[in-house]
Amino acid sequence: MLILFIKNLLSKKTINFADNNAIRTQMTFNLHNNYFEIDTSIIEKDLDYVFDPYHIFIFLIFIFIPLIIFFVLTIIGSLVYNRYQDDKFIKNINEIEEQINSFLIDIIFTESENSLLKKTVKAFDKKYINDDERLRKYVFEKIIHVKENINDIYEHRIILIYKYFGFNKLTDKLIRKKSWQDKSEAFYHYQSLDYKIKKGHIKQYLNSKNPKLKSNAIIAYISLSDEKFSYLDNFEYPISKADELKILNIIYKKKAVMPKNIEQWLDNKNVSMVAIAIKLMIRYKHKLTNSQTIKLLQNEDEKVRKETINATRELFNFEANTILLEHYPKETNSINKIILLKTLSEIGDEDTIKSLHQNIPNEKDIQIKFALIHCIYTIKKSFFDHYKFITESEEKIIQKMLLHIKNPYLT
Amino acid sequence: MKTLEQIIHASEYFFGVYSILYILIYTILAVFSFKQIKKYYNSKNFLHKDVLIRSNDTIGVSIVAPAFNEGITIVYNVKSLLLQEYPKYEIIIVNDGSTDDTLEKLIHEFDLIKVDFFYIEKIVTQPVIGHYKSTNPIYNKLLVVDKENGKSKADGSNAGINSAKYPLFICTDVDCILRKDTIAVLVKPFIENTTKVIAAGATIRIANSCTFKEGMLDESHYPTNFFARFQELEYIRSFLFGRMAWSRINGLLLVSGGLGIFDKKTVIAVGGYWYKSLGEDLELITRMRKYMHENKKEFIITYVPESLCWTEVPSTKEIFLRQRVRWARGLIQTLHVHRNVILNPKYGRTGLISFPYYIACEFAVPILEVIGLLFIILGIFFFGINLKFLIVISISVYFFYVLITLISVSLDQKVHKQYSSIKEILTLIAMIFIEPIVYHPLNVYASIKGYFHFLINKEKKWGIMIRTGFNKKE
Repeated sequence: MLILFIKNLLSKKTINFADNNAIRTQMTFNLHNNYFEIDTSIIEKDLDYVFDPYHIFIFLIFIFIPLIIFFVLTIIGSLVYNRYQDDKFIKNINEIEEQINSFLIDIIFTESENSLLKKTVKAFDKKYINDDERLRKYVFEKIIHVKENINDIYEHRIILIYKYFGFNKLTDKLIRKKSWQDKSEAFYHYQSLDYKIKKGHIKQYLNSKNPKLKSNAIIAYISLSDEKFSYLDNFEYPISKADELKILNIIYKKKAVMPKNIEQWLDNKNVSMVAIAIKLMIRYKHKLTNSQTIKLLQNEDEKVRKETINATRELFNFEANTILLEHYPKETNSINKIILLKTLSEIGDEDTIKSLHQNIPNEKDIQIKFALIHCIYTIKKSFFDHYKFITESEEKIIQKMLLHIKNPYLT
Repeated sequence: MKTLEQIIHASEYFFGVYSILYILIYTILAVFSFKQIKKYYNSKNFLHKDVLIRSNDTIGVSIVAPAFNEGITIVYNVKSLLLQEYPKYEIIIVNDGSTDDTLEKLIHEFDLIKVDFFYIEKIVTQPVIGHYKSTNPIYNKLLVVDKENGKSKADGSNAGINSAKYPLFICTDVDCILRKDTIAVLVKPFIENTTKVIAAGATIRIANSCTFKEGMLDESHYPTNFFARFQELEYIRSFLFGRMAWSRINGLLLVSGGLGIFDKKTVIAVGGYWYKSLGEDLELITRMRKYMHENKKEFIITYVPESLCWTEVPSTKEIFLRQRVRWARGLIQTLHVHRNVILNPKYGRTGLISFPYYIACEFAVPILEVIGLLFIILGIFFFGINLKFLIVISISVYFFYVLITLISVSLDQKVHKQYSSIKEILTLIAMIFIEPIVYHPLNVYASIKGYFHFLINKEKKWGIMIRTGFNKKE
């Protein structure tokens, strides 16, 4: 109706309006010549004209309003019903929460034979859960929560409990579904439970075209691997910041051993892998050699350079002092420059000051200048006592910086 | 007289088309909103917030909260902010020339002393008097900035931004209570997206009638105050319906000043909040969008459909109207100042979609409603009117409005499960039916008044918000 109306609008058409005295006023629009003709004679209503208030009136009375009211009532009904169901569920949970907690503690931490465990689980399921899918999911989430937050739980036992409750069927169903979200949830189940056997089910998704599915698959795969890093050895794809955090999280959580071939990772063409390698070296306190530091500082990727500078500081690599000083004028990224100065303040010496102080008058970036002053002051607190400032304004600024640096509550 | 009659009759034509388009737009927004919320919750485990909370490699965040005469609640609110679960953050409270004991209370409670902070005025503000840090290591994340009053929240926020050390900052009101994981949830879009995110917002809820315990929400209740009740509906509709829909098409023009996270570098590049603006949050986002378009940089501004912030809203007619007049004035001011964006392809969807929408559906609506009402009155008295048709149209619009609000509330209940009982849900539903008749006209009045004040260039005043404090459970 709207399309026809618009079509009519674009050409000369006669449109009828009805008023409440039943006298129809005929107005003719000519949009090209811009004029109105008005004829107030009574005319027959012509149903061929689309924009007829009578049509709209009929549409509203018999279609639009009933449809809207139907939706309104449906939503109100569902709001009240869902809320009632939620309240019922919460009440139910509150009543049996104690029993669920006691039961889970009992079966997770008490040793018993598998057959007895199975019997106990089935009895509990029949008594408290039955076919309540929401309650079933609630219990499953509790098991995952326990597994994730308490160390030294016998994994095999958790997996048996998971199977005896029938939660494995839920996960299998999820992984067979088409949507990446459902598959990802299945990966999450395997990952949380440390269900290593299921690693094979994830492998086919490692090269998925869906980036989120691929990312979740990689994380789950790494998590379930005994050799946590072997998959990453020849990893070619860029690793996003999110993936990096997730990978590091797994490694820290699982207390994985540093890969033996970590130094080969430093030569990986994938700069994301190089950055992760450096982070791991910091974590495992494995110092970079001078030649490695020099090579990494020449890397085009600013993130690699940043991590290299961080590694030098975190691992107190004093031998790299000269290397960093040589790199300082070449560094183009201002944040890296600031981090470099921060690093030099930790590992620097008199030679550092001799090299850096010349940059003070010429440094225009106030934040880099601040880091420069901070670095020099940290290495030698008396340096600025005898320093000759070029201008009064420069002296003023640097004195303000020094007041900030000297304040113990600001560092 | 005949000309007037013709105009009135022609306007029926116009209003008919406008109403149809309005309904279509809101139907499309409803679909977008639903899809975006679904997408968010489906991706929730892609990067679990606990990974960020446990990581030392995550991005640092500064929380900037300007305070003016907040003596009643300042200590409680700052303590609440200090409960954030995030490894790398700082809290910057800007005492914006308070005339009460806001600063004294802070100094006393948090063992603050004045420090020689090296302050770089990247954004020009009113003079900063001093910076304060705590001698107690428990409060080492707290920095208080004392400055002269700038007659606007914008000025206070800018001083906080100048003092911030981290690359992202959250701008909030000091009277807001934030959820413990607010920083972790808001930072996620910046880490998850490969396209640069320059701002993100989240749902703000109304604290009136809610109870709080140890600085955190304990029980959520539907407000009992008349004005707060309708504002709750408005907030739900605005955040869950409107903003989520715009987030889907990356056309957001507003990240609330009550809670928003921003890329500091971009904000400084555009000059920070504009101190003359009465809608500084809308105006800042507009400028940030313009900046990114002009520099041909890809960007995202997104919304998170989680209730992360609770704030007290005006509970009296006087304060409510004052706020709404200011918002309306802020809207027209922003549209006027940035009028070069309108339908300008240089500004991408900002100019071609967001701005036209704001003009046609946000700015114009109160004006059109008043004109429509006027024409109806004229029609009744002088030219005759099709009463049946008028009633049917009114019922259609009324129920459509109710439907949109119900959809928003339904989404809200599905996602957040707010309020403690069915009785409150039923009260909420009843308010939905009353809102278009009782509350909406007040909003229209406030909008028209705001536009008028802008046109006559009336002196800008923020006014004083009377706080009752949060209902605390001991």
